[in-house]
Amino acid sequence: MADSDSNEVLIEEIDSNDVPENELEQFQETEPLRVVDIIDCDTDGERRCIADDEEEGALIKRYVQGVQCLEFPDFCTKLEASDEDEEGNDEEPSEAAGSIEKPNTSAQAKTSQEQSTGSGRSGGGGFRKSQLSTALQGLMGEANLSFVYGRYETAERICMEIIRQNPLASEPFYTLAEIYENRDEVKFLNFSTLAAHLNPQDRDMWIRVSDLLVQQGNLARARLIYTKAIKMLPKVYQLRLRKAQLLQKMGETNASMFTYLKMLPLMPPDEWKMCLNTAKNVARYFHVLEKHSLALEAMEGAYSVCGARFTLEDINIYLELLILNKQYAKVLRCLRERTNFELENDQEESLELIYFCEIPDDYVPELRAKLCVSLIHMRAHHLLGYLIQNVQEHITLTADRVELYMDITEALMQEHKYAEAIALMSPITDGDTVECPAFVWLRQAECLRQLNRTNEAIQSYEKVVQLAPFCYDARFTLSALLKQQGRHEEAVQALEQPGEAEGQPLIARLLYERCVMLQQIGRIEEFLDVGYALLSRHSIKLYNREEMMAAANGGSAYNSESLKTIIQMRSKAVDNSAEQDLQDPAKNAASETSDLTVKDEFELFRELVRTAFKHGMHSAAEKICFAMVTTKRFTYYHHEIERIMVLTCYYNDDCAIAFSYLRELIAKQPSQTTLWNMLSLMIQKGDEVRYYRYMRRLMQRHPVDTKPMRIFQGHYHLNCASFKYALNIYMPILRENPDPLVALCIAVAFNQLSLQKKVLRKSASVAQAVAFGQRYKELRSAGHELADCAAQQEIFYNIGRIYHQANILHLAVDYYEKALAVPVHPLIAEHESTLGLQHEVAFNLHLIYRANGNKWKARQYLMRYCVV
Amino acid sequence: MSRQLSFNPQKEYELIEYPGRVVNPDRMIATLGGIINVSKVLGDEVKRLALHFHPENPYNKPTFGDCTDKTGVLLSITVRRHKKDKQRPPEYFVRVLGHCSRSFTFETLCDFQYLPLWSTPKSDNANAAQELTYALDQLKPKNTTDLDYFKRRHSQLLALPELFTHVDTVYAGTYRIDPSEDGQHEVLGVQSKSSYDNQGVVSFNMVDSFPTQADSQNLKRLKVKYVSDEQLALVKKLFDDCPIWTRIALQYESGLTNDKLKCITPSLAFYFSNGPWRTLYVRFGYDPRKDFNSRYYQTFDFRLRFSTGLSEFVYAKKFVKQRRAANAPFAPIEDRVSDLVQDIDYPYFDEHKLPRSRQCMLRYCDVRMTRIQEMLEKIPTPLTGAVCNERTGWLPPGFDAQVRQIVCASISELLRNHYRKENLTAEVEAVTQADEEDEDEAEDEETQEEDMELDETQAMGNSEQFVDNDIEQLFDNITS
Repeated sequence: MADSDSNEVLIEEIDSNDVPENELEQFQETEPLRVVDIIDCDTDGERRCIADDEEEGALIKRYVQGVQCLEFPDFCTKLEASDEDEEGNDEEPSEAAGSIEKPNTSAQAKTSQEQSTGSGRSGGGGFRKSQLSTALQGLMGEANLSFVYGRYETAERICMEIIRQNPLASEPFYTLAEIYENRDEVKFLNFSTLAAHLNPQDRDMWIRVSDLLVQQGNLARARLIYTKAIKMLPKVYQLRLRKAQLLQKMGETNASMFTYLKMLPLMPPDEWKMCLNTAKNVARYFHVLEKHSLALEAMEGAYSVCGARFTLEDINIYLELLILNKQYAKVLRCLRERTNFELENDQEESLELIYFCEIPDDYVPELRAKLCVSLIHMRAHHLLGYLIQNVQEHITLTADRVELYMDITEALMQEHKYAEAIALMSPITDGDTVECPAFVWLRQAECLRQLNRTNEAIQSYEKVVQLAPFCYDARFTLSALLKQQGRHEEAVQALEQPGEAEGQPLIARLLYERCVMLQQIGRIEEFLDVGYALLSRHSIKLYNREEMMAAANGGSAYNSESLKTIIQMRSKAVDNSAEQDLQDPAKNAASETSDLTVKDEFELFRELVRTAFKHGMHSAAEKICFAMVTTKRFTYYHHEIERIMVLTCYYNDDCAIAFSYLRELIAKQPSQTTLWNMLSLMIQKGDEVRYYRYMRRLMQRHPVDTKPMRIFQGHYHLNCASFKYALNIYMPILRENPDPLVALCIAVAFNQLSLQKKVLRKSASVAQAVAFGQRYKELRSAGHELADCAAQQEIFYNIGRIYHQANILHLAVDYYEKALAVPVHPLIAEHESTLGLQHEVAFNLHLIYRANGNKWKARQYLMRYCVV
Repeated sequence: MSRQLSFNPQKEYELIEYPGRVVNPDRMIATLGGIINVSKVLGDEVKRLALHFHPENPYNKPTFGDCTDKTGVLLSITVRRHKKDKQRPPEYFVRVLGHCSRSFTFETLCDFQYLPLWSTPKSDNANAAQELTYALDQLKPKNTTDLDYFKRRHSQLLALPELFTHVDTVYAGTYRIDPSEDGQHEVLGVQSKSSYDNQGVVSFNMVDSFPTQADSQNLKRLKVKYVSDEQLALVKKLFDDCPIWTRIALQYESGLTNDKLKCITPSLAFYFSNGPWRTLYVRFGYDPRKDFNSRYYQTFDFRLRFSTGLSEFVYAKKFVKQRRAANAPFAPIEDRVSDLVQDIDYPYFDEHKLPRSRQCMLRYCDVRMTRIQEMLEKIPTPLTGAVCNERTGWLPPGFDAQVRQIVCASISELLRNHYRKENLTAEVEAVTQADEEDEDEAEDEETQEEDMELDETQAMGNSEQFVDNDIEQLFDNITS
């Protein structure tokens, strides 16, 4: 029934037009096919059902189904865009249809019927997807005729119909592209892209699309088009050429070079000139980037295309790249092909079976050198003598040719043939024809070193250092060789940098090695000087005491505020030098490519400080410490540097600066007794340490743990002869926590009070001093019997001293004699040099006798006890 | 028989009488603090030579040797005796090696000693007896890189004063005991009241009236000090011309010595200890609170900041006087600097010179800069019957800061021109250390120093009264 219906419909169309008559004839022709493909019809029927469903839906869905047939996801976007455009086109006919009343209805009905018929034919067309069916070809012809006659809308509609029936055919897209070529550039571009995609073999279409995109400035999409084109037509070199040029325009030189690289083997021989130039450019590009394998690939591509047209210069470049890629056999093959070079060997790849070779006399020197390098690397060691002789005979020794000699020399060195390398270099080093440059001496020195001819190597290295003063590797090696031979002085001298005095940037590594060596040979002062120069290359130089105090202010390693103050002080002096000081550290830091780590420098710093202490050079140690605290470089080691600074300044008797750092440590940990003991050690030095106000402020901030602060305040008042204040502080401390030292201080305060002129009751003051002296005695003996106490001598001495100053001489003499008669305690005997008090007792006792006229007895005590 | 061989008067030696028998000269030098320390002491006129009998012990207290002027000659005497003929008298050869003009002798007491020994319990028992152990190994760092020192946990604090005693001479007097006393007094007391009264020192305030005439004691002292009538009239004329003076200005303008002025000034003027006219002498009968013109005489306290870079030119006052004495032989060097820095006795500030010392007490009329004087002139006259401000006097608030800023800018410009002219660098070493203390406390201290320097006697009176109160309070603490 369906068939009969279809026939009726077709009959009606035949009646209305002449063209249907042709279709009718075609229809008769297809009847036998239908009989044969009954099963296929069933399958087509299923498809027809699916198509019918989508017809009921939207046109977009049909195109989506068509899109799914495509295999390239990149085209989804473009096809979707095209679908939108096509959808827009379809809307117009609908609107046109809407304007008419009755004929529209019949037209729509006819259109539906036609679509149904088309679906059936589409199923039939599935048999030959790569080509249009006969019916569609007819439609295509009609579309083209419409286009020619200027009926663009008709042609477009026919093309859309063809696309709907056979989305994989490219012909309608070509026609659509031509329709829009002068009317809508966007649509033209889209249809052209689809046409090119569906007909990948059409090279010109790809090029046209890309050119249009380039004109529009859409380089990225043009690049994408080229990529797809190359994928489809990998043998067409023009596409790669255009892509490479596009990439160069886009600034992507690397990708451009890679595209050129792939293009070279595909070029025809008649394009040899472009091929050669491109190859050389690509090779030069990759050679500069030190990607020698890629550079060689470029030249090899060109050689395979037009090797016969290579000039000597081109061959030279090619051989250079082959050598860089260690493909020496190819060098020989190329030379044999292009020159008169003769080589006899049984097998091509065998390295040990090269028997004989003869190098023509008319060889270009560059080629001769490369041949020698290749033979050397192929381990034709038995030919070395002949090669060296040949080179020396035919390559005239001039300043330009030294590098050719050095190429061969380096090949020999890489193969560990040092003796032959030296023989080859001897005309340069010993001859007078050319002046021997430094790098030749460097090679010779290395060969001699490898051969263990150390003395000659040292001489050669000295030549290198003489000719090239800034060749630091040579200095390192020379120093190492001299060190092996025990010539340490010369080794140290070799590490000196010529730019030190001229203010050139110093090489940190050389300074470091020089420090290590100076320390080993015992030149301590120079070790400290060079170490200071190394560590202070980023530091600010301090010129006077005031700047040192400013740098130490705040007590933290690298106090930027203090350093700004120093620079401000200098800016008042000279305006320009201040800016230079500010910029110099930055320049040095930027220009230096130091291979020394901060850890290495810090370890060197510790070694410098330790060595300075061992040799008693404390001022040098303090200078080195200041080099560390005036730069940001060592902030990681602040903890260590602060403490080393405290100790260094203490040993240098510079307690004012040491206290600047110690007070910060105390402020952080006021309960740590060690820091207070360190402060006590500084105060013993007698330097001007202003700690009183610091104590008062600290006590306000830390109300707990105030005992050390109060004791130090009491000591301050005792030193300033403010005995009333001192006693006001000492008395509560003694009451809270009895301590023999506090008792002794109170006794001393009263003792001194009794000496003041305006004190009325001096005897009462002396009595108090003696009473607290006895209290000190009780506390010092720690509850023991006095005879068992280690401080017995000290106790007697101090009490005698009180009586002595009070001018109660008979009691003073008694106590002094007791102190001298004390049997030596084992603890005192163990530390006699620090704990014995005989000198002090005898000295005071001799003063009594001297003042009272008994000079003989005074001298007797000095001679007996005061012996140093 | 004796024969004089040679005499070399040019060679001079230094004599140090070492109190002991020297067996090891190196150790002897170590007890004197090393050869460098000895050299420093010899180069300084007032330093004392410290002698530590145990230099390894940082807690060992020294005895000091004083420098005394002694003349001596160093002789070398060789005696030659005849071997065979023992009856012949020996021959004496005398050679003079050199001479010395001073010597260091150790004649004062050695200080109290406290050994570095710690009390440590013998066992873990709480009631165990304690014994003394050697502490120096823990207390002293081993070397400059001994970072473990800061990680040790010291069990006790050993904090000794720098010196136990500053006065190390024996008491020379005798002890007097009042028969009437029973020895039960707990106050030491003062021997005699100070005969000086501080009536001339006035504390500034806005209510009380100021004294109008001198005390009779001052008038008597004029006769005792042999002050002539011409000198008195000279100073009196200065006070008639200008009612308020600084001590330096008086000394400069009158040409009299400080001793004379100490007697004359209290008879003509009183002294402000604080307020807008602090440290200035004001004529008796003149009230600066009521006279608007007294704004010219208010105190301008100017100090140089630490970071001005002037430390190599301008010093604290005491250092200037020390250097003047020390550098007398090196006049040519001083001439170059004196062109730039004001003389220490010049009381005015000139625009083309650096200030005379790090701190200057000036009157506003002493600042001889046209711009500042014009600012003073332009201050509007207050209404009739107005009184001055207690803190700022007749000047508006912030006026002193403005003047100080102008003076600092002038000094900076002067210094910059000097450096450009002389093409000097800042590599000259500074002698003094920086004063890094807090500004407020430093200000108080320096003000006090200035006060004491201006009038020592008056300050003594204050401290004496304070001493009395403190002693009584002290013994109350002891008793309780």
